[in-house]
Amino acid sequence: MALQLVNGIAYGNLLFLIAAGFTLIFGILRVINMAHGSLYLLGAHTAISTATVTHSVWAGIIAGALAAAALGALIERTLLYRIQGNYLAQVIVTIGVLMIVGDLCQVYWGGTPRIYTLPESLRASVPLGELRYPLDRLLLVAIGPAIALALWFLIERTAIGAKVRAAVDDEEIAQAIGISVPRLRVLVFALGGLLAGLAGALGSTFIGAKAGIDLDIILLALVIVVIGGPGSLVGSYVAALAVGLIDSIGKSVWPEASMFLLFAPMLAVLIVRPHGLFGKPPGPATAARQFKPIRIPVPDWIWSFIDVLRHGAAHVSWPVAAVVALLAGVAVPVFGSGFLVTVVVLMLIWSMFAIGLNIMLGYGGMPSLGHALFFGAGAYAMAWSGFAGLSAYIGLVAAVACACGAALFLTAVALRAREAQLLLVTLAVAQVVWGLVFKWRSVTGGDDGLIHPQAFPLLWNGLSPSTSLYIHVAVAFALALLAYAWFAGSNFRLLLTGVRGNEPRLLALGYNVDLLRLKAILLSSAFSGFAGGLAAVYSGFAAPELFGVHTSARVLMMVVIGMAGTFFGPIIGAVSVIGMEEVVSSWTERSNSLLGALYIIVALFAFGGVRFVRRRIAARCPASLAPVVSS
Amino acid sequence: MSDVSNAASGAAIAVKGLKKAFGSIEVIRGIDISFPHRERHLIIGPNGAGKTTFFNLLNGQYAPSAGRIEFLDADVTHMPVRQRALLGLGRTFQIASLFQDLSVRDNLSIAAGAPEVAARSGRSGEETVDSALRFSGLDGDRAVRHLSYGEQRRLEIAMGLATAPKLLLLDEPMAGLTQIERGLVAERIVELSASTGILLIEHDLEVALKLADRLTVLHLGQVVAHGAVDAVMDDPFVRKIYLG
Repeated sequence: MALQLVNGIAYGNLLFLIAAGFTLIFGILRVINMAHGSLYLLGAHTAISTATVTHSVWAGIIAGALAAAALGALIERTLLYRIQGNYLAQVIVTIGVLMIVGDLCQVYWGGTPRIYTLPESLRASVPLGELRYPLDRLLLVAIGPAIALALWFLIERTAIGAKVRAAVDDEEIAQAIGISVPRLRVLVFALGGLLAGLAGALGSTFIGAKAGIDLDIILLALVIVVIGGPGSLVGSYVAALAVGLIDSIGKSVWPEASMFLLFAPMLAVLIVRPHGLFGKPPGPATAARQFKPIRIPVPDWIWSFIDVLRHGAAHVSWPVAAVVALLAGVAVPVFGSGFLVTVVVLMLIWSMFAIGLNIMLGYGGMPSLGHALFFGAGAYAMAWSGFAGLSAYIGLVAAVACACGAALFLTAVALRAREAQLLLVTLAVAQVVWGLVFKWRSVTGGDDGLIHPQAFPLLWNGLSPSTSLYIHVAVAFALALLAYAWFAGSNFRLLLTGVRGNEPRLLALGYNVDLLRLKAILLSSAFSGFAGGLAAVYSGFAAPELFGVHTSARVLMMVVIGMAGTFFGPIIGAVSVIGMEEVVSSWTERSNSLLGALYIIVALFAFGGVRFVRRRIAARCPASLAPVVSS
Repeated sequence: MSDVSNAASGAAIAVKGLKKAFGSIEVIRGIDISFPHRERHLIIGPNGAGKTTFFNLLNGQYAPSAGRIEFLDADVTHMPVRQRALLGLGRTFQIASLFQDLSVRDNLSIAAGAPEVAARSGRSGEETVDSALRFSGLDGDRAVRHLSYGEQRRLEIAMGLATAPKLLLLDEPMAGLTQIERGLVAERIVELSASTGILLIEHDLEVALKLADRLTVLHLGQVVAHGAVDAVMDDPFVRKIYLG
């Protein structure tokens, strides 16, 4: 037990280093840096390589920390700087970075886990009861508090810290008295990166560097920050110690529940103290600052083409559109290859999933990074209904019901959260469920998932199973689209737009805004769960990855690409993302890098970091006023 | 400083010993006042007198530090904003607070579709929206974000009307408007008072005094004068505050 205790404390101190950088960046810059795991990964890899080459542990630690700091500064200076104040864009861009860095690390350092073995000369241990405990880990117990103190001193007691605090408090005034806020932001990011890289280097002897660790790290940081309170260093330290102890002791006492033990305290804290043990409710959101987007001039003929398309779209009559859609729907299985049919099925399923998120995010203004929760719930409900011998049609009903149940669970913690906090909370809840599914082997099949017998009946003899599935999914999609159209024309949609635009006014008018939000989340979950049920039939199994953050990020990406809040947006988004994924993955093995780059580019475009502009009119027809104006 | 005694006897809204402090700064320092039904009542006072804070206390935006608020003889002191709205306490905002993403008609139908409105007005939502639209004189299909400032203020008041309130709090409805627009808004307010009581905060005394039945002067969080317009304006202390 003593061993677990010491282990837990040492691990907790490492966790603090990981979380400190994350909470620093979130607390000061209000950026949810999903690329934090990449900083850790890069730090660990660099440290291991440098230490191996130079035979100096110190050189390794310094190189690892500096590499991560440089990457952090680079991310801020080149990307995040352009989308300040837009937490949704920041999340997508940093997820893109996470994908690229993870992929490139795998290219450069290979896929096998790397763990650094200390040279014999540095290996020492101290007696601990009957056992001996490695000294290098024990050092963490000293390093953690030292770093915490240093950070506190830096922020509270130095001139730079004072500038940072001033910039957080009122950016405009800080700028006006001569503080260079952009430079401070880079500095904070570099510091956050430094901490993550240091953690990577120090952890390289027992956690090591391996593919996928970046995601684990970001989840751990998330748990700690949510428990301790976003932006609170003390909170992070306490939470990191607690999580370290729970993890270490839990693993020896009740190994099956380790993932659950990690996330359960977070859930409890979210319910009792939504802003964490040491966190404060966030102040009023600072207005997004004006910054200069990159401008890319586009020839006029492209603009005229777009105008023609827009004009045409405004004049398309519904019956014509329906006939065209029907013809296209029939043409796919008749003329298309089996591969095309599969891809279209996938597109339709993800369109429905994205429609669900669009209701919440696009119309209701509630961002979610945990929408995979509903998708997964639908899929597992479908699988279970298969084992229970129910038909797939009943399975779909079960999928919707299960997703709605999950939505009620989510709203119990998330109804009061807004914006960036809501992103954190939805992600956290989805991760809790993911942890449960991953570990509760008897019910969910654990990490193997469930291979289930559920399928739609063949509609007539001689029909191929894939075409039968296609017809079912297409009809389901048409039904979902009808329901979605009904929603878009309803009074409820109007009110939801009101919630997004001006919540205080709705309250002052006497509306029950919480109830509206609850309804929106329920409706959203119904669409997403429905899609999840279909996805389970499509793939024949339900896996815990369905609940994962990648699923959530992917659907978020679709909604953003298609412009959230427009009727056809989620469908356009789903079709283009899946289309591009198929194309990209047939080109290259490095599809993750390309997709990550795509995420970044789309987020920058969609949120105004980059703009297409018309060529300057002056260039074409110089007006007589031009010389007067320009002089 | 008259009229304090008959609180709770058929007043539209009445407050007793109302106080509000932000930290150590007391913004409302003990107000006892009651406003009868169906009146156009003007509240004036220099900057920082606590007028908007007073409104925020009345409609529940802020919780008072001390005191009691009665709306239609019911104690609403600890009632949330939403519940007061359900009772028929309407409000417009100093800075127009509209649904920018929606059209004029959609804005009005959100207001008219609010809970309890149909019961209060005895009309269908459609009728309420149409009459509010006529009242505003705006084109229902226009997007709110394309309206001029003056048009947004008119819509703001029309939304107040569409909720069929029993008492409407108007916070500086004429701020930032041109002289002509002020005249239009003043006409609307007189029209509005046929169906509801009105409490009005306004800086433009020239227009506002003409349409007020009675007048209250706030100064440093206290009521310094209250009563008929002429009487209050002749009060030496009020003259001193306003004319120096």
